[in-house]
Amino acid sequence: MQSEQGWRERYRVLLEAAADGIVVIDERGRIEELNPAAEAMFALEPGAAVGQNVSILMAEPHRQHHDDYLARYRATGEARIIGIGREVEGRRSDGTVFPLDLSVGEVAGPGRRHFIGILRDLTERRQAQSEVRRHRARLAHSARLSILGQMVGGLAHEIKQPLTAITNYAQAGHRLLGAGRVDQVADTLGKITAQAHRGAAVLERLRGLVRRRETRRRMQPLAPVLLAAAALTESDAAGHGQTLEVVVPDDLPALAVDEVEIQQVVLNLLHNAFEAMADAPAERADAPVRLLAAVRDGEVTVTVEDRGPGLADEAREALFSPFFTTKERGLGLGLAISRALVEEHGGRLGYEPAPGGGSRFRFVLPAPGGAP
Amino acid sequence: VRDETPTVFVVDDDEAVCDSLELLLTSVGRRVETFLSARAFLDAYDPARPGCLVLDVRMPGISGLELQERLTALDADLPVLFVTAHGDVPMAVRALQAGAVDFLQKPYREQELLERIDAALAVDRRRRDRRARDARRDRCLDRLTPREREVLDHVVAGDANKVTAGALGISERTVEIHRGRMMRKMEAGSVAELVRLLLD
Repeated sequence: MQSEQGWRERYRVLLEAAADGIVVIDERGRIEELNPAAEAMFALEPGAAVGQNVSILMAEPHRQHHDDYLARYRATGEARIIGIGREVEGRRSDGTVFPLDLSVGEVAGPGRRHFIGILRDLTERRQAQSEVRRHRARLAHSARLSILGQMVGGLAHEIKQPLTAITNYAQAGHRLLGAGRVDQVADTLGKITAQAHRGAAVLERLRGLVRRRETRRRMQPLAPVLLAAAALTESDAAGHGQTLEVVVPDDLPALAVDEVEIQQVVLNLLHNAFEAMADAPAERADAPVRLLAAVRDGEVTVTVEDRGPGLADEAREALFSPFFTTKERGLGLGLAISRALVEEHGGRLGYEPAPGGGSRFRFVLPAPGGAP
Repeated sequence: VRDETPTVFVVDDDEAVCDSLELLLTSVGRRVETFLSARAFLDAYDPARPGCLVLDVRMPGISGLELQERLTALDADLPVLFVTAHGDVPMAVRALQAGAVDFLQKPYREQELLERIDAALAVDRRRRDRRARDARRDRCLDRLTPREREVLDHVVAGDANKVTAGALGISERTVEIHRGRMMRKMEAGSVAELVRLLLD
């Protein structure tokens, strides 16, 4: 008697102190104990649920079938949940439904069985998970925008130059006309026309880059694809006071590639390389970033090499993981996306330290027909 | 006699931008010289020539910002008006911190450009005037004897000849003689003029 009393006391202390919700029911589903954590979870008044059917804590469909589950277990001993944890939906006293993690154990008492349910509210964890999913979607979107932004940045520069010249010529033309120097005006109008054509040619290049996005891969010589990407980074490089050395043989084979995707990869690698050069040790600061292409057994290897500080070992490990970045303002998606794009082409993208310091990113595109 | 007409030096790697800017600025009566690279400009530039620099930020080779740094290192404080086709705020901030007088985005309005160029030329004129005055003052001060220099300090402090004589332990008449020579050497017609020359 004394020890039974002591046991019950310790049991009560345990129930009341537990952070998890604990429910004890009898074999017919009647609630015998419901600790304060569980009462708070279900928004119940203290003691209000004791004696009621445990199904009041459940959302449909278990709410209406729980008595049947218990009956079947009593009849067959076939357990569906006992000893196994699972995620279920709980129902608060106000009718709202929430996710919870439930594990059920059985306690055999003298002549009677009890079931103990341990409950953990998953509402916050679920919210955090969906927040992470939304966040990732946002980041993936802005990474695409940032790659697009780099391309557009290069093109904007090329369009603004002729526009600037046109504006200057037109204004000068006005003044020349006012001064009666008609011969010079004719000359100036010709120059305006030439600059307008120059601007249109830049836009034509842009259209060539983005049009027919849905037609994916087609057989095409690789060299022009690589050279177009290199040309787009020129103003980027000049802005950093850096140079780009391009060694792309004219006779690279034709491969089935999506040119926009391959250009995105090259642009991204070049952009990273120029950024790395900004932190290059002084003795290498004037070294060019190099874009090299070579062919062997029909496979094309494209290498982008910088002479910047290179990468620490731990950075190398995580390099291609989404959201890994060494940059203050980076998203950490550029390389992850680049690798995915290369892999979609059946190729592979890897990193190695450049001899003498710096980084070397190299991707291989397989020969048509899947040779080595 | 040195030609003091200021020149607008344009450095832009884009030939059409250079050519059109030259035509525009010439049509409004400015003297213009254009260069297709920072290197070409550095090779040709004589710091004694007044003017201002219209500089594209992004150029292959020596960039606009680098050219600005090199000019500063040469002690050639030609006012720099940066132009850029990029709305690159960090770069603009860097340029202005390094002493650029202004920053314009391409394509710019004519009026805007001309106003900024005139403002830059005015900055250059003020700097050159100031340097010329400083040089003249230093030349004058160098001609003074130590005693005349002492007398000058008392005059500038507003001391009467009698006070100066007492302080320097010489007669009032001697102070007057030193003072007259000092004023002639400083090319100052009045004490007010002398003070302005020294304080400016």
